[in-house]
Amino acid sequence: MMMFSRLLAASCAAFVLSVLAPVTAHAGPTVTLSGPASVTAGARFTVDVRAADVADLYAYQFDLGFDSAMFRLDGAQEGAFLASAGPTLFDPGTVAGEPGTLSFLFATLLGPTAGVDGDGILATLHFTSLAVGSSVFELGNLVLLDAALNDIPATIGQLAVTAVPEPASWALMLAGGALLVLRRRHPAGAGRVHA
Amino acid sequence: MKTFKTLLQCSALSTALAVCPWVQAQSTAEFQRHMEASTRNTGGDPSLVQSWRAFYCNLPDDNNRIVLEQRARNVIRMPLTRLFDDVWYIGSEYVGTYIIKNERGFVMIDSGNNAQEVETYTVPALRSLGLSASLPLNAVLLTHGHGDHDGGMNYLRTNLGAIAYLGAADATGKAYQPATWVSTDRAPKNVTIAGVPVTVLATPGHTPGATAYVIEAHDKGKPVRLFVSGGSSMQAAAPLIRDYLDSMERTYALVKGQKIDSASNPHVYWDGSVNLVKKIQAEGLRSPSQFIIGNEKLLRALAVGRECTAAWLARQDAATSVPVWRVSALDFLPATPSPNRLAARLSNGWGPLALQQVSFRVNADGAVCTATTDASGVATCPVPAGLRAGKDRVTATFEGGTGPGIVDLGSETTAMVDFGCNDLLAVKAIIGARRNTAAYVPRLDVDGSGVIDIRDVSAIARLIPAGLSCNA
Repeated sequence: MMMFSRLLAASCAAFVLSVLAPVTAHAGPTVTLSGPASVTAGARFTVDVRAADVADLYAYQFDLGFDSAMFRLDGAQEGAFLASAGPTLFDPGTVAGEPGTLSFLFATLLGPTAGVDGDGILATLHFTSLAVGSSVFELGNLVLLDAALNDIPATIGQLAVTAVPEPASWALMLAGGALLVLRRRHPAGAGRVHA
Repeated sequence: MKTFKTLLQCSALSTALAVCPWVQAQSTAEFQRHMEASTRNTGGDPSLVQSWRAFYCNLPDDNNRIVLEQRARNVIRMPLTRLFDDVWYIGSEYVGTYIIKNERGFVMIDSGNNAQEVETYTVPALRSLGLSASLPLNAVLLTHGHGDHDGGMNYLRTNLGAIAYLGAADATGKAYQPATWVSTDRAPKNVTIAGVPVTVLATPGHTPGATAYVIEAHDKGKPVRLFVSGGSSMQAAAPLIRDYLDSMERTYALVKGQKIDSASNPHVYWDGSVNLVKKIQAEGLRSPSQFIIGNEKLLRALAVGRECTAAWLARQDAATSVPVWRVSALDFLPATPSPNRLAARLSNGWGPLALQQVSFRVNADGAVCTATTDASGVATCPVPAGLRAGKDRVTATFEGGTGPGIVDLGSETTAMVDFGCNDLLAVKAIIGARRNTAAYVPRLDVDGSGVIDIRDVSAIARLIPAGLSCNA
């Protein structure tokens, strides 16, 4: 029964969060996370870190917080946005230290070149879902720099992801639900006389 | 008039200086100047703060408790640990001995606490390294005559036939009949003991006969010099503190002159050697050995110890005044020396050093240029023609200087000419490092924020010539 409640709660959460995510964009430069609102437990998925409405972006750095009991970070790779302006130096950051925090992922252009303008993917993060439930991915320690190495203020977004059971678990859950309905309509003790 | 009267009173009370307010004030100021220097000279390096600064300054800090705590660690044994190709440590976490092996046998520095310890630990360790009739223990170089250093000497002489060497001023009444060094001869002496090249330096202060040694060892076949301190704790009597101060200053000169880049102390806690031994035990002996800390850091450490000594002298002898030693650091600006720029910043724990002469030399015998530091401490020279990235090395040198009550110690730095890729990869490797942590490198914290972040990485990245990818 408890398992059923948890699965039901996860399903509801998936619906609600899918309505809420992604977070509404604001005017001016933004850095948002885009990825599936719902994933199957045990499945792999990717989250893109996307910049929008930036001008002369030369370098970026961010941390990412996530629930390490629910998700495992398998790796990170540089997006094509910054590299479209020339050679870059990219570092996928480290997960050492605080559990569930990717620290100091960064990339910078090299040399006396102009930065990039507009929208594009900064980095793609690869995750594996470990357990059923919901969690929010949050950016932190975000720094965007222009070619003069001045800070570019930006609004940051977050991403809510719910891990739902595998199909076999759904079938089991539905079967269990049907059984419960039947038990309520035809209680086991119906018609018996109690002394 | 009032000042004149006070001076007269001071003269009249020359036998009771401690009660003269003027001298007391001078003494306090002198003490504080040196204490401040002992801290600033660490450069925030945690290994210097936690070992050299803490223990050399334990007395002026009124913190002798930390030494007593370490003494209690004499019961914690440290197994035989290889530090270089031919040097090992064995002892406790408090005190121990160093073993040097060559083709003629063994030489030890200090003999351990007592016969039982030597019989139980040291002799089996020597046997495990090959002690035999053809590889005997030839000599023991004693740092001084205290029992925790020479307590095992009688056993080693009687049972293994080892010859003891000790400073003459500590040798009176020693049953092991040491050969002696002349403790009053303060100049370093180069000798060879059983095939081991040794520089002997009388360093009275801890005891009158305290003696430091510089041993030529090998690290993956490469010759290295290991400095072994002659004594640790200071005494309370001013004449002995003055000796100690003089010994620190001569040690500094020796370490600088011989460009020594590794140090140890029989009291392994005193200079952090215990941590290096543990590091080797945990991760294995690396190349270069973890005991190689670099000449610049060792000089900085000795200057810290010298300032602790000067502070202790000021506390114990109000009439003494000695100049403050300030450690200077000379660092190439990020992404230099390059074929496009030659610039270095001179600074110390108090800030940038302006209007000082810095010379730049290409390779050992190449072009030399001298420039004066600006208000930011930066000296810039025109780039000599034909400077080659990846081939030429540039050495920047500050010879040092003096001011009223101040000695600015000289400093030097050498780097390969590079377009900035070396610094870029170096700063990438320490992203996230914060000031006062081991990983932090001040010269790579370009914006001086105290944390290495993307601003520092990009500041260096901007200096990379267009089109260069640094193979990153």
